Amino acid sequence: MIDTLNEPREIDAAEIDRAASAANEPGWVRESRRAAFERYAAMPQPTERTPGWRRADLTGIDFSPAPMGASAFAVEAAAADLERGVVACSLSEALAMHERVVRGALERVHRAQTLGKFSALAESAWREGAFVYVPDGVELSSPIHLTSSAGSYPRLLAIVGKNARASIAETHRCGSRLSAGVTDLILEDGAHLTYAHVQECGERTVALSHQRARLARDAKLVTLNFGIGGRFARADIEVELLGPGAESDMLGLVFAERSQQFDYHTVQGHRAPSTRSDLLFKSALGGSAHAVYTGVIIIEKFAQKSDAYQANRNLILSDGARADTEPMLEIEANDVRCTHGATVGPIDEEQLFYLQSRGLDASDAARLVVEGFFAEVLQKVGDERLTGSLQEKVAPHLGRDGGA
Amino acid sequence: MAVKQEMLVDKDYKYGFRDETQNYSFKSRKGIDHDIVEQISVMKKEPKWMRDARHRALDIFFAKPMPPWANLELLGQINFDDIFYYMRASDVEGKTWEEVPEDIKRTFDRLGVPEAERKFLGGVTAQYDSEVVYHSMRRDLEAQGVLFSDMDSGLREHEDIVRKYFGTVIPAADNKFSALNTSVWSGGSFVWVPAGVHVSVPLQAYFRINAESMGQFERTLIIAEPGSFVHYIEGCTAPTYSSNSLHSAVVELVAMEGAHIRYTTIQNWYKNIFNLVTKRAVAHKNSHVEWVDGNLGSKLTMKYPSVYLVGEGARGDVLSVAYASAGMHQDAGSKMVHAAPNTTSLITSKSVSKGGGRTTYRGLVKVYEGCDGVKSNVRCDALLMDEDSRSDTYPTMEIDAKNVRIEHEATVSKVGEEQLFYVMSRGLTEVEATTMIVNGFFEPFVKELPMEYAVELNRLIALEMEGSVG
Repeated sequence: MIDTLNEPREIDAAEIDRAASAANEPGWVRESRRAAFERYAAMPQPTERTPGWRRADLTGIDFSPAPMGASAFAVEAAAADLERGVVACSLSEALAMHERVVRGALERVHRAQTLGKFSALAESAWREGAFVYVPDGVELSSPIHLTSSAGSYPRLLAIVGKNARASIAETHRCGSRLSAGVTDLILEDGAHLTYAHVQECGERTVALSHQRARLARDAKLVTLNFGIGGRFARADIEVELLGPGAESDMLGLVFAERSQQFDYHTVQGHRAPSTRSDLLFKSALGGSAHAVYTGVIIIEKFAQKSDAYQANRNLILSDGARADTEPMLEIEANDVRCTHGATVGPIDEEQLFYLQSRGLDASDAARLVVEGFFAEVLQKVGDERLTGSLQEKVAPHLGRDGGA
Repeated sequence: MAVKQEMLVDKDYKYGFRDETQNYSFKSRKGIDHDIVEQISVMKKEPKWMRDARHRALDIFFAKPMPPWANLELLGQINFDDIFYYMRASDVEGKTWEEVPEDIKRTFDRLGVPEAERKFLGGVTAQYDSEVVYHSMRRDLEAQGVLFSDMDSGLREHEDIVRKYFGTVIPAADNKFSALNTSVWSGGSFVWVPAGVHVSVPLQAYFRINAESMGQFERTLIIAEPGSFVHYIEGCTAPTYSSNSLHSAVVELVAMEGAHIRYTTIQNWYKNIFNLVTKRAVAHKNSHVEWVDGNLGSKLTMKYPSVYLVGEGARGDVLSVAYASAGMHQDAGSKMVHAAPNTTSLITSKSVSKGGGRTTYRGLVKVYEGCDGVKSNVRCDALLMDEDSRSDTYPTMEIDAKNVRIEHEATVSKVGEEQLFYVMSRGLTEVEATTMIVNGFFEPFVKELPMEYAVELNRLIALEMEGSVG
């Protein structure tokens, strides 16, 4: 709502400078915003010929920048955890109170960044944002929930300290025309993080998200991307395994209807020996929806003894739905185990037949199969506090468009 | 140690000799332009439509950029101005073995062509440089009404058939190299199998490159009329040269209703050859097209045999193996385009990278809207023999239909320690054990080959595996 009121204000370098001054931000933040905006401006608007965008149907999709309305997150964290030194607040606040920590983390992120056009925009134009810091050795008693319902540039920075344990859910419900977000997850040695990214934006929203995770030695990350909203939703999810023994499980679930488009890009970067990654992305597609999955496993020369898996499963529920899948491997080390698989198909006739033979009617049987298709992914997250409500979000849609 | 082994392999490279043929009756100058194209066409006394097609294709070749996704570092090494685009060994074609000139015969002796002649009892088209110099056709093939000749003769003697199909499966504008081939093609095979005819022996053709910086641009067209069957085998091996050579073929297959074409290739170009080949088949109703494709040599191979399944019930299979050692990049794969319901495809790809070699699988499975009942399975396995080698897998699936079953699976790994340990516990050395495991890895491919090829392939693998351990 706030966006629409501010709509006339064009975003440009001067505007970004003004906002940074008004917020009284340190000079290095202003510099980094300015540099990000330059990168944004230097990259062309995506068309169907732009590498990485070719499979999308961009007709009628408006990528022009939205104004710099604040993207505040509602933050829920247990008081007991905050007393133990956990920080959960807006990124602006964190800049004021914990500048050294924030600066250190962002410098690490920026050194290695693989920024796309819209993450550059988000990095130049974010306001408020969110920040989570879990000190070394602390185990969160309950998950931290971060919910963004307005604004166009949600920005999250989360740091999980050595041997700390945390669960974080980031939920997007904004209804603005454009939402371009950036999430950075930093896992120190031995840190464990379970992270859910829930995208339930409005029907007209172009929802873009860039998620980058950096894992140090023996860190373990489980991520779930749950996509149900938006008109055109794209997520770039990159996990960099930088220390020996680091492990990543990447999960994805998309339920698409109408003419929704979901375009998911993943990177499993094995940059250290003895690292492990697993990926399971599933989509169920009704209406004339279109899902694209493009993912790459990279195993660098020195990342020997790595183990990587990647699976993309697409369930086609209606005649007009489409799925493109491009799972890729780039392997430069030989002492590795690397496997991937992809499937596209309708609901299995045999499963339907089996359920119907047990007395279910056709639509109940189909609903059950789709629920089961999703349940496999949700179970793998391993934290019901994050996933408990997600199955229910899909349920109301199944009666309408799911089934057969 | 490794260097020494490499030299040993080079010295023993079976067909790495160089023949002293100097009596070329025609030698075009290096480089390519409309004059050269005109000259080729005039020399061949071609009809105007073919000459026009060549000139149009040349403009397309000039205009088209290199494919942006390719290994441009290697492709950039091709100097198109430093290549001969047309050459022929003699003006007269030998109809029997005795008529073939002696020096050329010596080359083929070492290649085993006469033996193949005896053993296969099939037609042999041996291409020497850019022109077919020897070509025999068994009498019963003629009796069956099968047309099997070099492409130049095919155009002269059966212009109506050639004109009907030439460039329809692979238009000149398909890619930069199909455009180049269309403008300067020479030689290759023309095969037409009448309806219902089952050709019981494989048709064979040997291709060679035998002049320094000599390009070879053969053009093959195979038409299988309804209900017919034909197996075509193309094997190539080239002598050692120091400067880069370009091989860029176009192969078009048309399988009419219920027809079955199997096309087997083994390429063992020497490590200085760019092998940039476009191969595609159109499969009509209930027909079956199989590509059996072995890539063992060349500096850079780019080859993605495709089947366009345009008739209901058509089936396409690709079985391919690739081997890449130092300085080599095998960029191979397959394309299956399902444009009709109830069509099926199966792609099996196996690759081995060794000593810094690089293998890439690049593929596409496309299913158009409304094509229900499509089934496709893609399976890629890659072996990495050492830490310097590299393997990439780039499959793409574009699925626009609902009731289809599309599966892709790929693995990349090294030779299993357990496998190795097991075989060595039976008394084999590590080299022998590795060779055996790699041979076993290629087995599904090898067993699809005629005996001579299978034996030779196993020997080549053994040779290549020397020095792969320790």
